[in-house]
Amino acid sequence: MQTELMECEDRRISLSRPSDMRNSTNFHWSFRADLKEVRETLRRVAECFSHQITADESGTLELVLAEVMNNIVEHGFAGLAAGTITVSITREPESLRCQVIDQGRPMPGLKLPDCKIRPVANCIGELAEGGWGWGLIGALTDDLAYRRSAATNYVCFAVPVLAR
Amino acid sequence: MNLSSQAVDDAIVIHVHEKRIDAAIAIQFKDRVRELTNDPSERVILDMSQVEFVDSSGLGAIVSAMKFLAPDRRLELAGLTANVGKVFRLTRMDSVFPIHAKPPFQETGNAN
Repeated sequence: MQTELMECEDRRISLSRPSDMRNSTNFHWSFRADLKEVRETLRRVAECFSHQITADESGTLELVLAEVMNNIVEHGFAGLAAGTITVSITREPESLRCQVIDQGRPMPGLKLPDCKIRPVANCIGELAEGGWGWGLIGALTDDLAYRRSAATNYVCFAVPVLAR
Repeated sequence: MNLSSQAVDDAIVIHVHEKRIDAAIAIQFKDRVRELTNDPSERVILDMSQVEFVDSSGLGAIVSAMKFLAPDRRLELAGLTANVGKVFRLTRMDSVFPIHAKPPFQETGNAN
């Protein structure tokens, strides 16, 4: 993975071409850490798995990946030159096993944030306007894990899907 | 950011003509809702029936719009698609917004 990222520099590269992925059970893609590129990547993921999973599962996968990747763009690379995010998804019989890799800042404390969805404030003026991301990720995934190694962040999780 | 508004009885209905309210457009969405609710009305109803995806940033923008309208006006939601409804349920934001199955009028095409 290290070698691929080094070769990648700042350009988006296709490590396996999208046309080859349509009927494949795996997805692998590197892209510039940018909110518009996250959108495009989510579109490609949906296209790749649309024939294998239900619309509900596809919605869950899209939401979880969006939260993980948007966090990397907005926090991991905040104040840094744009870097690269790599997402790999492997189809297993009852899950989609996902790994998201970046070389932005480490997670604070080198661990995952609290992944509980916080209670709702009692009055409108005190309602939070964000902070649900990791709660949603925690609620919708299994085996959520983070590690930092060789200046690289690895977030791994599984999205449950109906057995084929 | 494609939103349109329409006066229906005592409400301003804002139709969201976007498939996504996400991190990439959350700020523009919030600003545009403010512009469209400048005219007084008792109620503001956000027609979400064309929106297929809302992430936590998009949800934050909707909550922010609701707080901006409070305390005089309540932001109501209508036509949540399945994926969007799930985000509101998981975050328990479905307890904060009045949610209608459908917007009061289907769009006529004359909205501006």
